[in-house]
Amino acid sequence: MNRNFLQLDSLELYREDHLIFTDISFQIESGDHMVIRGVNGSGKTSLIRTICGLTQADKGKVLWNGASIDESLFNYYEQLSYLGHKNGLIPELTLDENLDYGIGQIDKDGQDQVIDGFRLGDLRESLIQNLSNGESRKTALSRVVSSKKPLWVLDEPYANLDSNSINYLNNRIGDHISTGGIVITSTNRDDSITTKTTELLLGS
Amino acid sequence: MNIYLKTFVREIKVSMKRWSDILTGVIMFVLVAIIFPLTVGSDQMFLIKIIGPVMLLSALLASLISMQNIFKPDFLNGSLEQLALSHHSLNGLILMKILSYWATSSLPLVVVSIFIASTYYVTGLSLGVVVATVLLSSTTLVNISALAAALTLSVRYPGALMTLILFPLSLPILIFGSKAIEYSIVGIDSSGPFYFLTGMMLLSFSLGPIATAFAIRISLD
Repeated sequence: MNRNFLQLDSLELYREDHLIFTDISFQIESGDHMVIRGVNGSGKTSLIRTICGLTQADKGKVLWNGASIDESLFNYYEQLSYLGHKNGLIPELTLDENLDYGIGQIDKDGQDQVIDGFRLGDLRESLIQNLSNGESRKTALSRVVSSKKPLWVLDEPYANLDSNSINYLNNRIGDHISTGGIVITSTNRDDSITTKTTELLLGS
Repeated sequence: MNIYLKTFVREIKVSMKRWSDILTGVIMFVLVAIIFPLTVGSDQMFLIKIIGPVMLLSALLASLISMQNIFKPDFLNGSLEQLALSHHSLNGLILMKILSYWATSSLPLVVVSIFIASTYYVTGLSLGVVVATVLLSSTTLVNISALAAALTLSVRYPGALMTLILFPLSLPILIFGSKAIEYSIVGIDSSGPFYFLTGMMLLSFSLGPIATAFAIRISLD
């Protein structure tokens, strides 16, 4: 993988005259796993959506490899794999049908491995609406984790997961950053995330 | 498989699973359209006079019901934001969603309108004109309703707002569609209103998906 870097340049966001965050600047590059930590309502999700270009910041810029993402959005989206609070799965379709609709570049063998890793193998023909919260979450995570895109942005990936799955996810994140990927995750808990290389504390 | 084709197939599949949404629109269309011949009886002259507006108004009411479900479920389960974050053209993906919505919501109306028109004593060439008008105007309506639905995605109770956007935009189609049917039944050349309807349809398909995709990006913000 090429070396990539992501820069945030003094981001500021207001929602209906209410300041969500201000003056957020950092730079991370290949091999980094940044954890955005903060209590509920500290603006983690807003920041993550801004990094993905879903929300427009009122001030400041997000730069991917030195270029503002607004100017080369498709270029940026070719590199970005995102999972928000919502899983982005269609409840009326099966797990396999949902994952087969690969909007990103997904390698099939890698995906099978991830599905086994999350122990979802027996549920491949089940409808998403019949899965538990944790199982749907793992399905959605499989999509990101098996994508070949360098930048993973995950909003609260550890919520709803059992300890086996957390371990597995940590392993995959570890593999990803050791091969030159970049990972951004958010969490509201203090527990140590083993793969973390840098941290951003919001709303203190 | 090409991603756009794949999107179309997936959307059709999902719509089939949400079949009750499709059926509600069709039932609405049939109910409104069939009530006149049933209550007025065999007053042929009257029925022929009103078939145009009745058909188009029923199509409008049907799309008012089905339009709530074009984007809302995907907005709520998050797959719409995944679509917006893909590196494929959102305009193209939205066009595919609109096409599949057309195939599952408008196409049934076109088929049903053949049978309904015969209860209005419309036969021969005029029957063809009625069906063609329903086809052209419902296709345009699909694009307008998609835009209205996308604009009101982040509104919690969007019903009234959607209607306010939809009605003025659809009035020209209602007027010219009714005229096309009326002219052909009376025996006047109806190509004028037809050209207008075709033009509207082409315009709505060329600009509609772009505006809708843009509105979706705004609603996701």
